[in-house]
Amino acid sequence: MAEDSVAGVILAVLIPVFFVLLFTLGPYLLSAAVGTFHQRGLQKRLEIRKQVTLSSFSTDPIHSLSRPINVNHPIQGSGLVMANLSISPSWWQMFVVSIHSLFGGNITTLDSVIRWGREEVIQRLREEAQKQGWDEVINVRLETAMIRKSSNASNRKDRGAAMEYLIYGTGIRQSPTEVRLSSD
Amino acid sequence: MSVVPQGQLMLSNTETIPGFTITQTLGLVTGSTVRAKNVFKDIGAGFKSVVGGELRAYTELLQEARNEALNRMMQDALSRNANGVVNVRFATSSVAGGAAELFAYGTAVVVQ
Repeated sequence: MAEDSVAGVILAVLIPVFFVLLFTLGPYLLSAAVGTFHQRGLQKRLEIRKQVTLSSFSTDPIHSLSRPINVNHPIQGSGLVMANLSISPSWWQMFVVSIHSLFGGNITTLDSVIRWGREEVIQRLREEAQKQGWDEVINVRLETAMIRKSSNASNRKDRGAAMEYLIYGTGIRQSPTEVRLSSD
Repeated sequence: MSVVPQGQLMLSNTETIPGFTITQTLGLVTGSTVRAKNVFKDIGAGFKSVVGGELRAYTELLQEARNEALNRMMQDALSRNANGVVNVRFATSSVAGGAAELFAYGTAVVVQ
């Protein structure tokens, strides 16, 4: 009888503790496991798309110079090309960052998602250029904007932070025939 | 929102429109729009941020709003009888909580 009541007391304590942990730590553990898996998959798929696009151009078609690399091909047309992407770190990453920010220093946790976002938006510009039929994209500019702040004191529920990448440049279509300029 | 037809106005973020020469400069043209987020899409984005990665709702919202700002800039340029806009740039700023201003500007020109 005494053992039953002890077990009952232990259960009565453990069950609420279990549920409290499930709804407080649970989402973070889920975020750590699923988020890492998800982000690794994104990176892997990006690498494949990058290989496919780069192989269809002779060299990387986008650059930040203000004029085309090969000046001997006359320009036939131009237009503005842009791509954008909003990204967010996972809850787990935001949690680790909040721990990091107590001590300062390098935050390597966010490296993966930030790097993926930047490479992804650059790849989207390449794909957009390919879709619109440009040979080259010159004067490429990359901008970053914070569109959602992470949790502050007034709103503890909001754990998400989001940032937006915007990339734009001028698409160039050149004629395939080479024309030597008389200046050289 | 009336869309400026393609080919009527040439856009470029370089100093000149490649392959053309500028004959006349018509001054700064601007276009802006303020967009608020959709509460339902925001809840969806909140769930998505558990795992991280892309928030597609925000990407589409900002893309749409930026196209609108660009379109207003193009209307401004057309009202000045320009046929091109050079040095196009973009700026983003958050106005109030949950609302963002998308801004596009450039120099209207006549090219030949």
